[in-house]
Amino acid sequence: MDLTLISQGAEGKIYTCTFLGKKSIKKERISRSYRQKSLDTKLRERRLIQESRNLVKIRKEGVPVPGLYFVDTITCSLYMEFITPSISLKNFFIQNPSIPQSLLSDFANQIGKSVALMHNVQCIHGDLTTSNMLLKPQVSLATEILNDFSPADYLVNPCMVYFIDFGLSYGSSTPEDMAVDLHVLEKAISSAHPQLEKIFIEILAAYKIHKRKADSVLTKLEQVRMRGRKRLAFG
Amino acid sequence: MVFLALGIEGSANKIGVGIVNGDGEILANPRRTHIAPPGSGFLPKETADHHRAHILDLISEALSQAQVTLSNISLICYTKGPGMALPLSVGALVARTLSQLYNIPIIGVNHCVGHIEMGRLVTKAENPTILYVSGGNSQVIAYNESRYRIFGETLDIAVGNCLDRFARIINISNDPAPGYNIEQLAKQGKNLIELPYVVKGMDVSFSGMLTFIESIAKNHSQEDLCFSLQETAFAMLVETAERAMAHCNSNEVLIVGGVGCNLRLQEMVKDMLKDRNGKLHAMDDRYCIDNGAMIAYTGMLQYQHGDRMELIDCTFTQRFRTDEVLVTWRS
Amino acid sequence: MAHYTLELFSPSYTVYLLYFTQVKNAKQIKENLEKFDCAFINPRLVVSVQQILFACNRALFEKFNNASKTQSLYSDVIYYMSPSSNISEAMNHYGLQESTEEVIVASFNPETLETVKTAIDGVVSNILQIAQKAQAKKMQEVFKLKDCELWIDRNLVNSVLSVLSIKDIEEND
Repeated sequence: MDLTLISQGAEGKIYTCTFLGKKSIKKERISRSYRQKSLDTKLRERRLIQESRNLVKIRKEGVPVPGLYFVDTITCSLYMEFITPSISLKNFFIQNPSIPQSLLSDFANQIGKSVALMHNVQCIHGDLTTSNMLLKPQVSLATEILNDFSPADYLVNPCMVYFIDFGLSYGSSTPEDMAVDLHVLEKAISSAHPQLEKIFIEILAAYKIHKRKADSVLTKLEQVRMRGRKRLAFG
Repeated sequence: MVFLALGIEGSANKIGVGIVNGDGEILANPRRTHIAPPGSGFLPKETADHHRAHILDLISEALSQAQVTLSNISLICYTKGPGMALPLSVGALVARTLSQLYNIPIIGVNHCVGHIEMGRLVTKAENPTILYVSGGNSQVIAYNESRYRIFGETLDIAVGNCLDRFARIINISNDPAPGYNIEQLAKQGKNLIELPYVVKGMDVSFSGMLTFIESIAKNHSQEDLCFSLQETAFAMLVETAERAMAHCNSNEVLIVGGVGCNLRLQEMVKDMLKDRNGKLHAMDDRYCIDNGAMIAYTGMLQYQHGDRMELIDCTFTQRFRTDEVLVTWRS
Repeated sequence: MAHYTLELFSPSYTVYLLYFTQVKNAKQIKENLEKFDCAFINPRLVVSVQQILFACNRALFEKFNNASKTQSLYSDVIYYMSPSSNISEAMNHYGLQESTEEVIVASFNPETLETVKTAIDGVVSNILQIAQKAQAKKMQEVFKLKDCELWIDRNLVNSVLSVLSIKDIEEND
């Protein structure tokens, strides 16, 4: 199989490849020599399974995530849909200095709704940043248009916000964990895109509409903000 | 005249007095450790009593080692926090008294920042990711926009606390330190017992592991228990450190805090770094173990960059976050 | 005869597919199933060729790991077409029915397909037509796809493959 390495994080390696005849993403969790073999195997396997289940679980709730193509339990790899054409929300914000308010509101609504839908099924993303969200032109567009998509085209065509990288995702039903998930996003936006800080208010508004028992999460969020995500250090 | 800073550290079971000069050279750095009897942890009151009994001797010892007198000291530094209140109060009280008696400026220092700055000085690491592992802390820290940001940390008890409490459960001696004795026993361990491995995003949790290991302790040998605890707990820490490194594009790790002396932990971090072509800085008492010199040096950095404290502000606090300190000396 | 590569394996495997319509002797074929070294797949619940490739890939993967679910590689192919972990339910949905008039034949051996061609009384058709013939409503029911996830993609392929991917994926102990 021809693999092209596109990134290497702490979790593993991401490649593009052709799988079942389609251009796909391969995400491989590599073995880490610092931990005992049995622990290493168990962790990689468990997380592979957790990530794949979470992907399918939240797709069922209507959150746009890459389609899953194959779970290789031997090499601990996932094969999944290569979202194309697409641009990360981060790059979109950086490359387009002025973005119409209506478009920002649209994205904020989608993000808030999707995070709410994840949380409704006790899935915490764990790494909500604008690098982990992709804009993909909506399916209703004709193929000819999609084949020739430039960064500016994302400004004038309706897009869907995809969520990627569930490598740090985990299951939890506590408002605390959900609040921290939201706060990570808030911090990511304010540090990477300070001029767009206000978008988070709209994200929260959409979250509130779609999240069951949103109030307890939003109250917690206030507390999390106050202490700056972390508890106080002792000793 | 040479700039001389005297630092007092007493936030946990060690009391130390250090003297450093303007170049960061350590002229003296004596300390004493309060060792609790087996089967118990160090208690605030007894620890404070211990510190009170030794601090004046330590000051004399440090001054004579450095061959200076108090009138030569340019700055008094003390640990403002975080730590145990009673032991902290001893250092703060003595620092304030000296400052008043000899009319020397005084400055309070964040204990964690003290470890980090001494570590950077000794190792010359430019921008390391810091793994701070002690009895009271388990944090992964990296510098970002004038603060030492906490990227990940324990959601409940610190790794050192977990080791100490485990030592008490299976009755391992506190002398010289419970962690040291666990490390020696772990070397004989062969079977890895599966323990709860809890990493949530960048954060870790050790309390579940402790509860679990307590419940199964009688079914396994001390050696296997120590081995399994170390392997599992340290893997969690190394994993979060690696995530922080990937996040910040850092390729150096500085281990600070008492648990950093554990050779197995160091070896695991080295293994992790091998895959990233990174470098480890560890194993040096000057920044790994609580001591006065690291407080003196960090206080001096603060002072030289314009930080001043009125006597009324020279308090101590159990809770003092690493990222509360505005790092004026790095930019 | 269409052929597709399974890239996962080294060297890669090739899957050969034939799509028959207006089949008149399904009953006869079913009675002699063991004579054919291939899978006979019911196309009504096949959303695209990819679904077949997925099943072939998975069946081979499990075979190489000595973890085949059923007695033969090709019945494993049928099994992995279905979201159900119940073998007979999977066979019901995707296996050959006596009354069927359409069937997809999949094999790793091109010669088998030549034999099948002479054995089946039917019309060889373009495999790419199967997507239009899939019964969307029934698919949605069998794969338990909620309406709310259908807005994501133009078709059901990603959703179907996602569900199939995690079938029988469990932690080993």
